[in-house]
Amino acid sequence: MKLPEITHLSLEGLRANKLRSLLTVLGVIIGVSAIVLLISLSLEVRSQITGTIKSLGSNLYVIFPANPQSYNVQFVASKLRPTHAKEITQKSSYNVSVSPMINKTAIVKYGKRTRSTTVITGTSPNLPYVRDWKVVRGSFFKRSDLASKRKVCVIGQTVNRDLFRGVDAIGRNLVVNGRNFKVVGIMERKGLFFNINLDDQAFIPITTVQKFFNTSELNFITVKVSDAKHIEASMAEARRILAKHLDKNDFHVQSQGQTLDTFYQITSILTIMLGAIATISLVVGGIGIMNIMTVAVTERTKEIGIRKAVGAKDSDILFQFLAEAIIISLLGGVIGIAASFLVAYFISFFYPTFHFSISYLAVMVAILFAFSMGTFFGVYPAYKAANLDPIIALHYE
Amino acid sequence: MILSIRNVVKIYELGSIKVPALRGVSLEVEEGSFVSIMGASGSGKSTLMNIIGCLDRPTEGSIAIEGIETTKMDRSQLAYVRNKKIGFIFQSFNLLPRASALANVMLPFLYSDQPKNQHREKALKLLKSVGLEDRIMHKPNELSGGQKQRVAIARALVNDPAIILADEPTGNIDSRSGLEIMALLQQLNDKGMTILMVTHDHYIAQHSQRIIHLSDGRIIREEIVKERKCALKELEKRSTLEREEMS
Repeated sequence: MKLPEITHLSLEGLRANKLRSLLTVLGVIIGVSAIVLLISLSLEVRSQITGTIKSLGSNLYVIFPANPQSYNVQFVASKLRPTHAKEITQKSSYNVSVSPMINKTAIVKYGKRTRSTTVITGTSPNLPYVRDWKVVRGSFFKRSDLASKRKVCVIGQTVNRDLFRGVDAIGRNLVVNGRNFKVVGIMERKGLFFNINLDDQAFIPITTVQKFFNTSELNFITVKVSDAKHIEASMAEARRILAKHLDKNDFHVQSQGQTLDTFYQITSILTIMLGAIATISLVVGGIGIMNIMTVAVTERTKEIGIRKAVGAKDSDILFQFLAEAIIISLLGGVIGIAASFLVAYFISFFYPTFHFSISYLAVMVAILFAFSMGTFFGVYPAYKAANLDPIIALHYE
Repeated sequence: MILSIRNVVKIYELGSIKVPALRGVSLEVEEGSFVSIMGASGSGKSTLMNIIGCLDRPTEGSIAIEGIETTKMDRSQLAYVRNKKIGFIFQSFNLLPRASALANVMLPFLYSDQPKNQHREKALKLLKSVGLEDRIMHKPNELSGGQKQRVAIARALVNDPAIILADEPTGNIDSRSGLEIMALLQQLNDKGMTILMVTHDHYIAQHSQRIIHLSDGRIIREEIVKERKCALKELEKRSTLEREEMS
């Protein structure tokens, strides 16, 4: 028997019990779309996290004020100081740009409008270079602003939009905790870093922050290495420099790559877990196929006997029933994939900010899974059918 | 010899009990002959038929169809013999209920490796020869018992078998339709087809040339039919009688 004949026979078999076949296919549809959607979802989350981390800039490493393995970073007073950043810049044997940072929250005002969530970031003039973050209007503050502790600021898009509302902010005064800071530049939109809005930020010379907030505790130091090959070596060097002044638990050096690896690990676990959950639903669908095929073999025992009497070989019967199981699972696979594209479309329609798209990897995995599942769960009933004794089958009522 | 059976023994094992169904049957059937096997139920006639038809295997003994030994064949070789050499006609027709008359007749083609091009024409020709040219698309439940058996005969002939095995072919149909079936079988035999028929009806058996009587798994008697009945003439006789009764 050839493939078109086998397919034709199997479709006939499925058509004979339309509702039953449909319900079995439905089980596979649910399983397949669960796999496709959940894998796509976790891959999407991974790519968004990667994108977020990469949006911080390239060839970076960050020095944090405490070793996360020793302390809960948030509750530890930072021992990192601007002088440490200066020393790394001066003593580095590689071409590096170092940007120290102090983050403070403050009440910011323009006219009658107020924001209380805006982060005041004291930093160095090389920040736009270190963080690959462009200034769209005006310019970033200069070295001279830093030296003279000038009250100038560069604002993010959220601050600009919410406080200045269409008024050109350049040259106007932003009131920070009651003091006037002249706006000299506006940063380009950067979006969310996890749940932190990077555009709700005002950059001020770090010396000015030290003066008005009366603190020199750095939240972190970002180091950009011009040649990616030297990141590891530069990190080791920074550790040696800091170790002269600080206890090894008072700082932690981590590259962007390491951060990415950490998140990769987390998202991989997520992908595997979601995939496993979805697989369970597909396996349940597979058991449905096996159940239906076993019933079909019993119901059609007489038919099998007739076919054998007129010359069907065991293999002909085997393939006829196996093909039925595979057709159910492939049909469910194709419809399930179509359904998941539909769901993805609706998700992106209602949540345009969440760029949800179906991963082709997930589609391939699902099709492969559906096919092998149809085969796996179809083999036993088909084998049972093929091995029926022709006489017993013929006399079955 | 188209069929030769030597010393066939069949013992069914039901748990630890051995039930002999055939106790050494030897039989030869010549090409072109029409042989009946008669016996009470339990005499082993159906078992013999199943073994000849390659649906079952003997415990001992040998069977050769057209000189080819079938007893040592594997399952797929037996399937090949059933497909090419044997045409079955069953008491209960054994048609696929969801398939049309035409599809039922074409069923054996599905399992043969012959070229496909003339399958449909051949099946249509056979349906016409059994008088069902206006019923080709009917499903079995839309056909009478006699018509179903004629579909089964067409199916049995489709691969040009060496022998037709008919197991109580008239058992499930009214006597008039039974005679029509016998007429068809006699016509086939006249054209040279070898037919082996199981029946318990002596009247039906008298349409064949030779009757073999089976009892308790043994051949007890062979009988050459002296006054062979012709089904067509019997049908004519009936019609005349019916007409006379009507008037």
